[in-house]
Amino acid sequence: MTSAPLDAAALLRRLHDAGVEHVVIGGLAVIAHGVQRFTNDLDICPAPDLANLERLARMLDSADARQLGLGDFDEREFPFDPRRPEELAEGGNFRLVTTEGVLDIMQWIPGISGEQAYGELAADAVEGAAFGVPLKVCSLEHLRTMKRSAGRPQDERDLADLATADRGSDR
Amino acid sequence: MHGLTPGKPFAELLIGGRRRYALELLAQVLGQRGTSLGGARLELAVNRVRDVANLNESAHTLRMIPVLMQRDSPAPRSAEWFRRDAERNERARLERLRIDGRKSVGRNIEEGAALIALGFEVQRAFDHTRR
Repeated sequence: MTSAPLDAAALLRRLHDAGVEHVVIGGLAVIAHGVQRFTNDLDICPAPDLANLERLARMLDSADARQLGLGDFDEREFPFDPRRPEELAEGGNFRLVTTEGVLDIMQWIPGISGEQAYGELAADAVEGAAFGVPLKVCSLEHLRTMKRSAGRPQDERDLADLATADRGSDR
Repeated sequence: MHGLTPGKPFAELLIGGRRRYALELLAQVLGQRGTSLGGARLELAVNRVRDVANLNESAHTLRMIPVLMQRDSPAPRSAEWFRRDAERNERARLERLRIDGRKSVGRNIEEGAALIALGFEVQRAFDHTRR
């Protein structure tokens, strides 16, 4: 399945308009903390309460979300459907193609303790606004923790660049 | 919208002190497409774009990148030239990181989204050229 180019503004607006509580993590969080680089997806950690997951499921349905990266598997062979709130509530992670690019729903995150990562991330998140909508971005410390846990070459580069950007910061 | 917008030319990245980012952007876009392009050749392509770029002709400039990459090389530059150029690029990159580190998360996301859109635009330009 091919994906549309990431339109971060449209996806963030869609999440906001749907009332989905979430924290931005991943590549866009790296960018938010001052390291401009290319990324082709938006990673978010949603609040785990059922009402929020119902809003997220409706938003995913409206964005024609389909699971991505399934290899030889058919979408119907996967145990959980992210457009069903009760299945989202099982706490899994999903990589989805939407009408506005790839969206990663991350509810379990290596390096972040706790059954549900949202509570920990939201407690320290940096609040801001972009494209006219409010947003929460994971803290620099949480971002570093996640990057260290992932440990891929891109994560190592991000950690080095985040350290440089942080030295210029007075936030 | 602050700073760069998708409509601004790729050349502005090169001339506006974000040359290293422009190189990385191209390399990342090409890498995601499974295209291997040596650093020297990529450097050459960006230099050629910089040499001919007209800041008022963004779409034209963008389309020229893959075309220029396929043209003959100019006179070879020395190893010393490349070394000094790499040092300048790295200094500019670190300075940019320090500047962006002082911006708000919202502003960085807005600028980053514009640059991501530009990256996809470059990718489409490559796709178009290869057809």
